[in-house]
Amino acid sequence: MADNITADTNRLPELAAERIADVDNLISDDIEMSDSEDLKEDDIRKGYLQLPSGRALSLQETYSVMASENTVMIILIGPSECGKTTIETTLYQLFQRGKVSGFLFAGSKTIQGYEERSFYTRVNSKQEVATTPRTSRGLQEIFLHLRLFDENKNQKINYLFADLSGEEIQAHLADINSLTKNMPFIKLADTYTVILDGERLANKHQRNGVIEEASIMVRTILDAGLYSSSTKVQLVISKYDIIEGGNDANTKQYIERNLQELRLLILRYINNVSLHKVAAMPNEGSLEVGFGLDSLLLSWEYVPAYMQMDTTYGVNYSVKSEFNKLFYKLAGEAHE
Amino acid sequence: MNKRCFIVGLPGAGKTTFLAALWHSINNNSVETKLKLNKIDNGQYLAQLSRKWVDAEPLERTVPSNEQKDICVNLIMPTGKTFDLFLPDLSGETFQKQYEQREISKELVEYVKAADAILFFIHVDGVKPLGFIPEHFTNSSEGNSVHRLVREPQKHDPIQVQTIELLQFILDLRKYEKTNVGFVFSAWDLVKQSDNKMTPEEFLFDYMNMLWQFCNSNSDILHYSLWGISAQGGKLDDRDTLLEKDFPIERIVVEDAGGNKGWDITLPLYSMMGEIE
Repeated sequence: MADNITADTNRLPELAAERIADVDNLISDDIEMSDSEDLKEDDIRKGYLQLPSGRALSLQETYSVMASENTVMIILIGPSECGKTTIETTLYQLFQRGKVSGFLFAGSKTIQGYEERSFYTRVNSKQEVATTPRTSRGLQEIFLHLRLFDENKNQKINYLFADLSGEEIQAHLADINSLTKNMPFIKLADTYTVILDGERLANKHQRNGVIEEASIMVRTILDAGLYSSSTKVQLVISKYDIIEGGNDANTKQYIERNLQELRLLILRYINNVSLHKVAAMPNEGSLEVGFGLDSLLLSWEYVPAYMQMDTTYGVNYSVKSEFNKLFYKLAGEAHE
Repeated sequence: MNKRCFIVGLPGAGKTTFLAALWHSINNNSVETKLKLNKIDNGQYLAQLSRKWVDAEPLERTVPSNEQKDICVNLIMPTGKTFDLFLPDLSGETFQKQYEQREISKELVEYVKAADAILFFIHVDGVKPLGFIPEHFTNSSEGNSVHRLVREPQKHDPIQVQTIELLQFILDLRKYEKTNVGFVFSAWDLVKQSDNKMTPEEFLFDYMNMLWQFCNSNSDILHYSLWGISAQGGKLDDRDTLLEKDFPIERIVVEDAGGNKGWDITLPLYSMMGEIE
């Protein structure tokens, strides 16, 4: 299908992600859309309807969200136990106490998913050290969902979170077909949040490995062209309480320099890279629960589709088709 | 003219006590209430509840086998207009099942769809602050016990989270048609004992902030009102004190969102039912 389109000279230049995207897979007949996809007749109990499970969503279950409302898809990348799930669940839990960075909680399709992952961070679990169970999941149920209301912009935005472990990425290292076939959602990412384990960064014997691993994971994705002109990357140091508690100037300087290097590497591909220090569930030191999550949330800013177009594409364009006229109209709005 | 109010609440939320006090109030002329009973039709169930309520006797828990789905009272407004109000007394376990087992009977779906308003009961005693482990224990603690407590959603998940999930079901079933919800904080006297100035509005904001956010960010599909109600007037352990009042209706405390107090337990229904044509 893509080959036929290329022959058309009026065609808009493709973004890298579009070039590799298997559109047929994305728009497959398997996608079932109905006005009540969440409610299904229960085969087991007659006279009853099954309510939505509230657990993590499958890719298919996210389509109704993405199709109907403003959505940001965030993929958290990092090795096992680096704190990806704790970041996701603590952000959800912060909303139980109050609004975060001008956002209000407006709903979630995965409340059960959040609650089961959050339980052992709470006092009523009768534990004395906060833990987040290691995410065990099938290939299907991978997305956590938050719907937030932006007070400043007066709009609701959906956030879909998926996490990828370093192992999952490395299993498909340098094999883009394998990566996108097994994790098709990666093509839909608006933002990659790369987690660097602060506990390991604080350890002189492990810190080089952390940087190396992050660098390879990011390059695997970026070299595969899985980004567009509006994709964002956040480099996040998790468990920052451990680094802060260690109070070692040498470690801090090491982190500062190496993260800048990593940032420069990513800037060769995309323009929007930010650095964050996070302690979602700090077990030591004086940092508060959720430290740094407010600024991380702001970095996942929703950008409307028309703003995502790289308007420089239109400059040498002859306006022949109605479609291209529409493009100019939208690009014009983007400048306003 | 018919109106339908769907009454929601987890076990022990105060739904049945409210209905008992409501029946007594609409039948009683010692205190002025916005709604009064126009004529007795089929009030047997409510009358039984009310008989126990006036003597401050404990009411039996409504269990699924004892649910009353067809309660209907014929009411008269101050303007003289009359209407039939349908309000089922469902077991809290029915709603617990929706949260835990994720199922709902088709019959209930029809009730939800047809409702003119939802009255959502929340017992204030079940509302607990969210405590994170790092805020209570230092890392030098002994560590976790080998035997981990298994999460029981209805017992362990915060009440505001369960409330939001049940509301999401309701909104989903009603295809996001604008829905009128009245939240009733029951056993309101317990809140007033610890903070006499607390209003229902402040209680929602201070103790159930996620629910406050949910309501305020969904004003396009949800209109809400708040009530603090003590339908019993206090704890049944202190029965003698409760029975000291000359009129049982004087035990009732109804407080609106802003803190205006009275005895009229029909106010939430009256304000939510809208104009009666």
